[in-house]
Amino acid sequence: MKRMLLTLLMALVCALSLRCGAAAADLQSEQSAAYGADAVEQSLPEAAYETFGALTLKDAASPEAQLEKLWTKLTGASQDILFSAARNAALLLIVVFLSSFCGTISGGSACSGVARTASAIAVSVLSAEHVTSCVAVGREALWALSDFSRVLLPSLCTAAAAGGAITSAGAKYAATTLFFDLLITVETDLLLPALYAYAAMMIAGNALQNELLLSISSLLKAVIKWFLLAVATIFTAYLAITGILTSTADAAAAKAAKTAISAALPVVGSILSDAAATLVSGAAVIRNGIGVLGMLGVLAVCGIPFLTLGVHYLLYQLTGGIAAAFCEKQLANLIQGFADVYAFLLGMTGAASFILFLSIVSSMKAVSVG
Amino acid sequence: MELLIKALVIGIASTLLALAIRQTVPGVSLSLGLAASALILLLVMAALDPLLQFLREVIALCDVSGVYTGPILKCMAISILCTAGASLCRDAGQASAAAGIELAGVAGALYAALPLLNTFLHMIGEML
Repeated sequence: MKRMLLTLLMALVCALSLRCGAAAADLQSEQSAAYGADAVEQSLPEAAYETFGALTLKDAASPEAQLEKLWTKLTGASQDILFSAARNAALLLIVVFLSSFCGTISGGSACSGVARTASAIAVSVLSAEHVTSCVAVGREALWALSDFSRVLLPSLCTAAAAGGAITSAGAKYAATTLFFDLLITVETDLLLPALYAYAAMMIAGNALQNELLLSISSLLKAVIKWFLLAVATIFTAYLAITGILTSTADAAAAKAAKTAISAALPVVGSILSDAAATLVSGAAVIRNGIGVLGMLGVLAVCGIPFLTLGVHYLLYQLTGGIAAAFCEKQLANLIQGFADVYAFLLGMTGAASFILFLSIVSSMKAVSVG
Repeated sequence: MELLIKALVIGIASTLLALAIRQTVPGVSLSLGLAASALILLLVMAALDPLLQFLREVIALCDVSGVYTGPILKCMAISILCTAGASLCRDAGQASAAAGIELAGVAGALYAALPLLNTFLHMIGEML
């Protein structure tokens, strides 16, 4: 009889523990569905699928493995990118060398001026092909980031708010959405055409040796540079100030709520408070998971464009430096001008990913209720 | 070095001879200068051959389209010929003929650069 009772008791304990585990799993899946984690998983950019395959919140627990996949993809792609950029740099150097050779042989005759202009046009045509493809890469990355942010940010905000950061999550979401939308709209509708205008002015100014066109290109360059710097700086400052102010308010509100429940209901209040803390902890886990997924998504979207633009920028700077040593200043300036175009594209993609990345990190570091 | 010495000898000898006979037979003096410059140009052309071969090899190695390099090389050749021709005309006191040759050279260089300009305009059209 005693043995039977013991067996029954053990069976009951086992059933209860399994039920608890199942309940915990149900709660987590319900929470993740409520915070929109499933939507984030499904709306990961194409680049993320190509790099990591289908990502879930469980994969966010081991980001090292995903980062390794990203590294493998980047190292695999770097060879092709480097070869293509190096070939382009070699072609530019050939044209520059021919131009310099022509200039040396023909002296200062009228024909040498035509040859110089022809060289400038050859450099422009050779560079413009690559610049156009790189602009397309940068634009695609911006659109992918914009689409992804529309799903990621609300989900992250909901999870952060459920994790106790009610005020700060909302403020950060509003700021990020505003700045990100502003940046993407201005970059695609204003800065990219301005970049084309800069490239056109720079090419025409250097080919025709026209100071006015070169001055206009310098002005456009300064405008693009200052806009990108200003958006990044204002966003960082706003996020820092909002984070400091609202995080303190959230922590104080959470602590006050916990104390009030415990004090109002002596026994049940404590149980309720602990249950609420469990829910909040679950929300924090999901928030961090969504954040890691978001970071991986942003890295996958920006990895290849950063590599492409960075390699092109460095090689153009190098080519410009070498060209300056043996050819006319005009051609060296033209190549350096194209290096600036790559730098701006890098800056545009960088600013967008920086805002999104900072917002994710900031939401993940939101207040947790102890 | 050998080429340089040859060019120097031909140039100086023709100049000295031209100076000596300029007062008596000015027409022959001009022909002498013309012959000397043609001879030097031929010598240089022979010496330029390895250099052009090197350039061709580099262009083939990088698989660069002739659209980019062809016009520049043609401009270079036009420029050399026009400079030599215009200088000869100036030596003969024919500045207007020299200007005509230079103008023809510029027109020729522009014509040679036309494929490149076409490619450039086509590219801009595609971008727009």
